[in-house]
Amino acid sequence: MPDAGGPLLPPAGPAAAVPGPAAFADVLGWLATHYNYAIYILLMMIGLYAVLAKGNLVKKVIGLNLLQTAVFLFYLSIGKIDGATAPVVWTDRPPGAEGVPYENPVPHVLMLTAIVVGVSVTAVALALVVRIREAYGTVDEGEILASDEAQEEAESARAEAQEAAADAAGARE
Amino acid sequence: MRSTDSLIVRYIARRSVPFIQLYALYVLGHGEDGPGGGFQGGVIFASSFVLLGLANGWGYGRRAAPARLLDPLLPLGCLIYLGIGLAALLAGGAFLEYGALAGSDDPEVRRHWHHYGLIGIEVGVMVTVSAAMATLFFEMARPARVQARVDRVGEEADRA
Amino acid sequence: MPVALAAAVVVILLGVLVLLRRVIVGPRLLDRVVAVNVIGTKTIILLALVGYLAGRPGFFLDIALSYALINFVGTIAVLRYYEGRVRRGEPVEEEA
Repeated sequence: MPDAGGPLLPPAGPAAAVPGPAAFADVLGWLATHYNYAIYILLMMIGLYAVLAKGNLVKKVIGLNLLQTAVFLFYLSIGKIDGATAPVVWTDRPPGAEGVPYENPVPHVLMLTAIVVGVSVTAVALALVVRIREAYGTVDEGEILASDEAQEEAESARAEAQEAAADAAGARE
Repeated sequence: MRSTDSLIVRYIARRSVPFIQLYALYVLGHGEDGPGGGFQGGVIFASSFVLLGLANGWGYGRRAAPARLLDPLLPLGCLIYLGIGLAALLAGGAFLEYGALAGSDDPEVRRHWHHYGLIGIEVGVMVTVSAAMATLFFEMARPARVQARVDRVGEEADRA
Repeated sequence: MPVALAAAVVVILLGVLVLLRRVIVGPRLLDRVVAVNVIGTKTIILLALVGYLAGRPGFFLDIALSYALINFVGTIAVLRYYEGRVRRGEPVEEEA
């Protein structure tokens, strides 16, 4: 597990004008001890990509869930303490495990609440997708926008036709 | 949502429901000294109805967990939670101070009542969470013909 | 004993890697679903092994049981979606 007590950022060298092999080794060492940040950023970017780039609304919701899971992972991993056990009361400790500490329970509780909120958000999002599918007959964002545009064009064309008809009527009188 | 064509899936789903619900109660009971509690137990309890609805069709699952049963359960869980908190307040303690429910200063008795109070609010949480999860699933998966009937009833009520 | 448990964890993770390839390349939807289901089964065993490694098997076995349940319900849900598409005559295989 990553060293929870280590520095958050790689230490800045005294002469950092030209990044030499030493600075590179620093970054590598930081990645080796804080790989949870790397995984979290990777997962989050995958989720963000799905939210932004996918056309299917259901896939967007899945991307949102992935993004959320990345945040859960981040919070839980920063609550980890080397050699500690899960923050649930441990009564029947075997001999030799009397002094094992608990991990930080605050991120766990926070993420429990976040999971519940996330389920509600997913439910609302899926309900909206269901209504959109009923109204438009599709869950593809491009098709929905095209359908909206076509409707707007049809409306403006109708309004123009009405105006032209009114003008023609005025000219006759 | 119709039931599946597979007899095996339908049968397994029906037969595993009591085991899932028993496990949900086990998780609820271990909220104090293990992984579990009201949230987790409630979700597992609701998953038994979700499984019924998925395998045996929406109507089968909805008959097992009808709206007229689930809808009152949603606020009931909150009321259990609030009621236990207020009962502690009335018994002379702070809000949700379960030890005060004992009505005695004996630390041993107070410790017991602390456990009872904790289990009580976990039951409240479980009732609300399981009803909410099952309602979410059944409302989301509502077939078009049921939706049409609900819409028609709503329109008639609006007109009346 | 912990060495044997750790070795078992590594072997199971290798198995998950092999299954991940099946999830990614497919080629059929059913292959992916079954692969995901087997990854779930491996996760259950992994949870049990980690429980013994951490010295708290009872604690982790509860989580493994819950995971087994959710895995089953999730697989049924995905397969119902697949079945619905087959019934409506829609294409079941993912396009590219």
